[in-house]
Amino acid sequence: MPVFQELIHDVQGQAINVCSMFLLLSSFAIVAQRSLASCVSLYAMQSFFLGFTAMVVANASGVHHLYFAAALNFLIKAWLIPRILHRAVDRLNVKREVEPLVNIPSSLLICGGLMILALYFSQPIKQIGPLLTNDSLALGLAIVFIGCFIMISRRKLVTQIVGFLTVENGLFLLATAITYGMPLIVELGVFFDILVAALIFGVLLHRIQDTVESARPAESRFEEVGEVAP
Amino acid sequence: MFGNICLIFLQMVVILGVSPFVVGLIRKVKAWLQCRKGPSVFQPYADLRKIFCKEAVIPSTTSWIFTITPYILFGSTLAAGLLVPAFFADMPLGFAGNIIALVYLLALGTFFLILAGLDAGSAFGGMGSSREALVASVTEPAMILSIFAIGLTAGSTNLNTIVHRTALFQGVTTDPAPHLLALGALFIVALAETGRVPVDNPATHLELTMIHEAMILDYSGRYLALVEWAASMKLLVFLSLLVNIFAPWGIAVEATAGAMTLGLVAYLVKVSALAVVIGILECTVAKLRLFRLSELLGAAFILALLAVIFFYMFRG
Amino acid sequence: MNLLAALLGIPAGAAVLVLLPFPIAVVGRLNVLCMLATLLTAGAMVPLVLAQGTLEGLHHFLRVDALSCLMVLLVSLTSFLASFYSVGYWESQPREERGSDQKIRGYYALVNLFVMSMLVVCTTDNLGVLWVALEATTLASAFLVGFYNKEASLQAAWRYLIICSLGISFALIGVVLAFASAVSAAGFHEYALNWSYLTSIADQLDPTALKLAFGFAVVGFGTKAGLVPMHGWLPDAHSEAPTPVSALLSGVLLKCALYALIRFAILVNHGIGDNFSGSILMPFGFLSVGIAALYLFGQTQIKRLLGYSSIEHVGVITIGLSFGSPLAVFGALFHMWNHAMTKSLLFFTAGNLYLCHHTLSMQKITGSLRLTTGTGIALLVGGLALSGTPPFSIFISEFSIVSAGIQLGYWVAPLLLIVLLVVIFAGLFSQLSRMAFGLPSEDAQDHEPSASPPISSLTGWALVIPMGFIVLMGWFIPGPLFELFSEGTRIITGDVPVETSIRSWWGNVWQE
Repeated sequence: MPVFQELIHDVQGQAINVCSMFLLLSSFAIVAQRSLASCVSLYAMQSFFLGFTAMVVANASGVHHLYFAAALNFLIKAWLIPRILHRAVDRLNVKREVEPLVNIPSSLLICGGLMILALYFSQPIKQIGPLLTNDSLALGLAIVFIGCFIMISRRKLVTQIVGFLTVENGLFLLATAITYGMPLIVELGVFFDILVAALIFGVLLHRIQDTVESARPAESRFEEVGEVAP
Repeated sequence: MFGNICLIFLQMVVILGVSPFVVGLIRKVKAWLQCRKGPSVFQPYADLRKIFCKEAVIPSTTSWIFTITPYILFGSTLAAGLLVPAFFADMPLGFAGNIIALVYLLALGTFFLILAGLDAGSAFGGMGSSREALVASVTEPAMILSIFAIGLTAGSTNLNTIVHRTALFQGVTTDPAPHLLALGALFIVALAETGRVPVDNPATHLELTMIHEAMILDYSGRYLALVEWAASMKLLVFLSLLVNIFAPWGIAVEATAGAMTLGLVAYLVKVSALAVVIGILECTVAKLRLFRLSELLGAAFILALLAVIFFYMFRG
Repeated sequence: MNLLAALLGIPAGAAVLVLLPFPIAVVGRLNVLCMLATLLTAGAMVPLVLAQGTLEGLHHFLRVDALSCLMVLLVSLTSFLASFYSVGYWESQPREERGSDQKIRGYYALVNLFVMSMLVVCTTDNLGVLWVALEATTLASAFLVGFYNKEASLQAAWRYLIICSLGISFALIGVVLAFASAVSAAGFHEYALNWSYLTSIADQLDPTALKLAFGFAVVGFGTKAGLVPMHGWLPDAHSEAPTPVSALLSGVLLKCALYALIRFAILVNHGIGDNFSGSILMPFGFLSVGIAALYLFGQTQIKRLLGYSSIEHVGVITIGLSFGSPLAVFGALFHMWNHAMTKSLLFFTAGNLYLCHHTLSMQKITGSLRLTTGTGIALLVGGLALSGTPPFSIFISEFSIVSAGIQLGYWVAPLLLIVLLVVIFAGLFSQLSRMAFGLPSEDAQDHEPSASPPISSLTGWALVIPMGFIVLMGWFIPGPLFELFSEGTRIITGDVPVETSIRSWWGNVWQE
């Protein structure tokens, strides 16, 4: 039944597209978000969609280790890391609002521009990836760029973490799209790194909270501090 | 020919007749969710009848614009309503204008309403007009882009063609992603254009927040009735647009009586369902501050932009 | 194989060992022994590598060739020096400043993990594992940078962590692209991420993808290496970290990132040729040297000054790599070593000055030649060496890079480099000589610290090895090391037989 199989293939391709679209939308939602806690929740949602995308890709491509990666995604990125971050946000006694340096409509527009940039970058390398997922390539790259933008344009430390994690999610989508995922050992290493990074971020946040009243990176404090320990 | 005229007439009746019901339904849903009994869903009909019978007072400071606006508004909205396929996919008036014409017919009414709000010279009218102008101008790009995206996926800007194609499950299955994005954008646009909750609250006359109500404060009698009716028709036009472009299930594609009846029933069910959704939304979402409006509409614009980008990405 | 396992195993074991409840003085010395064992293991690899070409292990995950061997040797040598210095450094600091013994144990454990991940970076064959290990170096050293738990150091740690993690994410895109193009060119292969496999099929890889991958890799690894537009974390991290950690960061961490970049550059040059990598790297190199030269003048704090100088030297190495001729690459590799040694020397000196003066402000430290003669001499020698003055080894490597540029027929680039180096000499040496010469300031003598313990003599002894190195290497490179450098150059620049040209050039300089 070749026609039927082709249809299935098409449906799977579209399912991947729709999943990665939701992934992208949740990144945009993070950009548009004002409260820190919802940023974290949106990150969890994004990771959930990411895991889901990975599952669909695994199903469509028959690359089984992606199931494992998807499961890790659900466990670590969609559950564990948001938990750590939620606790960190709860413990902060700062105003629980994102303080964007660029206002939200302009941020959204800039992210739209970044999306086009990602599209432009991904055009020449599209053909080296498998056909099924080659649309998600640009989306992965776009999410990476948007994550960077979140890190640059938001002042709060928590949003910087969320931006970093968004970048990682974009990378995962990129890797999934272009090669059906990296070899498992590397994938495991990356997950481990991200988890440890999130933990360290949490601890540092806590310590900074203890020493500084408001948890935000000082722009030019370092120059004033002449006398510090070596 | 005669059949076509009959169809147009039928469509007119449906648009005119169903629109107050939709408003009543939304109010009823809100009342239920707020644990009130609420007025009957047919209350808006009674309201219209009552207002029509009242004497119309025209402020002495106003010009001819004030008196002509309700007729223009009503006429343009009704014309827009005739362009949208409601229960039948091939509207005979389809040749007269495409989806872009629809947008500008609606914008024409808004334009005159803004003028009329300014015309009376009262403080509230001017305020309402300026706010309406703001909302309209930030909605416009999002609306045009989302329509552009829909047009791209359907391969036409003609509403009949769009609905016909999506009715045959072409649009939804070949490009689900841009379609969904355009749906999201158009939904936000619809809420903004018809003055529903996150943008404007139709149920209040609080001077700090009202937009649409502020512009029509000076109207009374049959003028008020026309304006209100036009507003409910506008809501219905947007609902039909959303329903028939994104979920054209059950719509009649051939001109037989059976298909028509089925189409009509399906249409009523779908529109009511969407009205219920809006009612629920209005109960759960707080009205946005005026300055935050640009964020919501900016989001709509981005959704529409993404829809266009996605279209090109997935196609080429 | 056993050597490789030992090389990674010793620091891993040491990380656990130092957490055991021995007295803190014992822990420090134990740590030195472990590092010495690592160094000896690395040294034992040299003859094997020279004889066999490569050592492989752990199912092709580890692979050591001459280039890796150079890096391994450098990492273990610098870590040994840093751990040696740590002992005296912590003993000379009052308890309330350095924190509890438990904290020092944590410090030693993290340093070991840090060193181990750097060793993994240098020995792994798998680009993915290399990435993971490089990210692990950031994670292991983040708390080391923020060790003092002050506002400034925590913010430096935060900035370090954020910028480096973000930057390195871009490198992962590069890795993914390289992997994808390998899979698409030659089908899925178990070792498709292995650097050795990738270079063997480099000519089949999609050139566009390879170019894009290299672009991302430059941004990513360049962030970690402190190349200029991405260098924001570097001066803060270098100045806020405890001194031995600063030496490690500046001496070897930056070089590990450069090593990753070199591996990528080799791949790209194999695939595209035409010294494509050089044309990308050169602007970054000049920007780094130029910006660092400007910033050197405004610094008031010695460790920040040294941080900016690290940016400059990373720039010089990058320029050397970008010239791409055997002589330039030889110079770049040699410069890595010279910089690591000189920078360790100067950071240790800065640490000693801090122990003595209780400040790092260069205004307040004067006349150290009179006050503490040994440290003063080290400061002077290090300063002269760092700014590229003749009898010291940095001069030799910088000279070979510049003359390689001229040999290649470039004129603007070498000249610009010379001008910038002169500016840097002025910026650096004017500041350091003021600290060495002159009269000791009044504060320093009044401010006789009563609470702090006597300064351990170990802090002085730690200066001997790097000082000896930079003086000796200005005249003479030991045979095996020279062979490693030549072999490393051959790996980078392709199959060009370079030894004769370098040897003869070397002879010329020596005779003059």
